[in-house]
Amino acid sequence: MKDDYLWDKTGEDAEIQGLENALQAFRFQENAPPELPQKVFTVERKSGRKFFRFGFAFAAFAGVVIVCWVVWFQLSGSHQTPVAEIASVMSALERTEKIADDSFIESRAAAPVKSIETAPPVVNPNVVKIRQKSPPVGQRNRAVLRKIKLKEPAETLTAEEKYAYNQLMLALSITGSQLKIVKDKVQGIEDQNAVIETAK
Amino acid sequence: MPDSEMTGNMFFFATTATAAHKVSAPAQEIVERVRAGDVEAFGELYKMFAPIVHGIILARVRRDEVDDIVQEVFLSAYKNLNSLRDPSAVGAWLAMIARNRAAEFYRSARPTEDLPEDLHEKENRSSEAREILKAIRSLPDTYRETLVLRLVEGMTGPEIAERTGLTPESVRVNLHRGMKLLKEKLGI
Repeated sequence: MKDDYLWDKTGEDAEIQGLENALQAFRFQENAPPELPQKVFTVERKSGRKFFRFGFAFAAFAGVVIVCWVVWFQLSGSHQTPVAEIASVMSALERTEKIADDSFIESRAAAPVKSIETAPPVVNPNVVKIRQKSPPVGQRNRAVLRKIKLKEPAETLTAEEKYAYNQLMLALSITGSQLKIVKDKVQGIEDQNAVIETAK
Repeated sequence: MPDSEMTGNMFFFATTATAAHKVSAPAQEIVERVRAGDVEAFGELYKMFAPIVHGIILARVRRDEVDDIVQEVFLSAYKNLNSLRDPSAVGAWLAMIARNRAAEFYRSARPTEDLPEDLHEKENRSSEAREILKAIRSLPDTYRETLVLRLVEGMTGPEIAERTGLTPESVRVNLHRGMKLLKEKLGI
């Protein structure tokens, strides 16, 4: 029976036998099995990956440290107020001082101010005052200003605004002078105390 | 059940999934020996299953690449033998590796060059045989694998069933339906 030959090669089938003969050339030629490795180094492969992982982690960590260091260095370098900021503040202060001085002179000329009599500070020849010398702030700021030439902002104030501004500056300058008086008084008291202590 | 009532593909996958028929005890013993480090046992395993693996790959891949892939399949099997849960199903397991390797071969898309004509002459294979193999390869997966194992490797139906883990019934159906389609293609 044809079906039997196809299934278990019993009987005969010329067509199938012809196909078998033709395709016999492609049949598996028995050969030696593949050479086996001595051992299957699955662990070694893993360790290689592990080493790579550690290396990558170390490189990443080093990169982060370097970035942090650079950021910290830059921040510490810019810990002081930026020069441009100082310059702008100083220019604004100078302008206000100038305006305040002008208005103060004007107001003084208009209405005489009572002279304030203050007790002269007690000077003890035994006490020697030592003050730390430091360059005046104005001098430093001027040096900075010399380096950086800033554009003067265009003043577009109306007459009323200018008057109000002058009044405000006058008030500020008066307050400043009063504060100076208080400071001198306090210093005088401190000096007196120092004299008393040295006398004791 | 008449052949016309079921499709070959459905039958093939259903029987593969269940793997009702498993390899006989000697194969199981060989696997255990290979696992214990017996290199000679690996040679026996190769001798027993190389034709199956060869046939499965030949049904999918060019002839000149088949031998290399067969070696790769057995090396891969040796390295991963501990992952085989049921040693009695080693035939089906090897067949699966062979199918995967054949699929990988096309996915990797290695650059190839045509062999010179004189090399084909040296191989002394008739153009008729190539035409038949080409016709078999054009059939659906279900049939071409079984037909190559039967016509090229010269295995009987029961042997195919035993070594691939398919049921004898599915192998019989695949053989008959595949042969019918092949004859139609060849005009026999």
